[in-house]
Amino acid sequence: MFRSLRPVRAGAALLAAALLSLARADTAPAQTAARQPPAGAVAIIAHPRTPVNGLTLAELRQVFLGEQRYWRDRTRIQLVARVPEASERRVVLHVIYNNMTEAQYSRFWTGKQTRVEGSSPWPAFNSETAREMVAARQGAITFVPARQTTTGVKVLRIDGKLPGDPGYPLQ
Amino acid sequence: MLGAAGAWIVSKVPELVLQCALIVFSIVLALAVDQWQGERSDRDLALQSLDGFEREIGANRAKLEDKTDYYVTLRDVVPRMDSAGKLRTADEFYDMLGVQSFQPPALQATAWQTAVATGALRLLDYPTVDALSRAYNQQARYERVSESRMPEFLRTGTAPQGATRAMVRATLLYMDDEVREEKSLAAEFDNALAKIAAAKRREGG
Repeated sequence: MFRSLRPVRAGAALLAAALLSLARADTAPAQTAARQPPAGAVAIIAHPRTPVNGLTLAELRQVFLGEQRYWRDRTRIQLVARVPEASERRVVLHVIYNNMTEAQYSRFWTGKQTRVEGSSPWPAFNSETAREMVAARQGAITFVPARQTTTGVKVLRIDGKLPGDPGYPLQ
Repeated sequence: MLGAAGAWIVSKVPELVLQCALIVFSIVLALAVDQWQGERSDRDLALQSLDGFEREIGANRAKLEDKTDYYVTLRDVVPRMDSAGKLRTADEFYDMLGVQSFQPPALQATAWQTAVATGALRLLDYPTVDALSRAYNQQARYERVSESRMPEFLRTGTAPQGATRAMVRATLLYMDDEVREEKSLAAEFDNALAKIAAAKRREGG
């Protein structure tokens, strides 16, 4: 009935090869392995359902200064802040709060509370507690050493960069 | 019989009557103006007082809500950390949770004290004063009870070693009680704020 099955076999082999190469491309990792962030880099982490994946440094400042009090889905933003004596807190005071001292920071939030302009940050006594609080509270956001981020929270890009990327601002 | 003097007096009667009437009218007018000024001054004092209450109770309400939110979150976090073995010792407990986390919010009662001192409360209607009195009394009760209910190890930051299980349980119970009391106080604040808003509308404020 068929003069020769060779062309059919060749076509099937070509098709199989094409399908196989497509399957390999689909399973290839979407991005290269994350760069290990340098020691001293600070990651901004938020609750997994936070409706943003990144902020500019200016937007981050607005959040941390209490000027932006809600995410765009109307969830109230809750800052969680490591209490003093943490290296990541020093980075945040320097970069986000424009070199505020601890005394200035304390007065800033006391003033805001007095004027009912938002709730002051919740204290966290170590990075692990800060992460747990952010994971438990929708709308929460905090800062932790970049090498200590874990699953259960969302690491935000700042100015389009993740900790470890060249030019990441919080280090 | 009256003669010239009498005739003169009689001729002056209309003028005298007019002058008396004017004097009486001036006195009545002055009294009316004084009463109007007094009522306006009372109304201004009442509105100032209501504004002060609204600001203070609003601020207290916000601090309370913040604390309630914090405890509700910690009530999830503490058992998780405990299950993960992060709270095995008293030192770990304090390292993770600290002591300052559990301080009750600093609520103010200045507006009430000022209203009592200036007599502004007498200018407000009964339902408003009743709501304010209930709110401030409940606030004072919350502060007293909160202080007395706080476990010693949260007040002092020291605990005997080996008591961590009891510390975790006591902390969770304390937060449960605090959340309950805070929600009850918040309801009184909301009632007071509603009465203040209604009183301000009546006063035209």
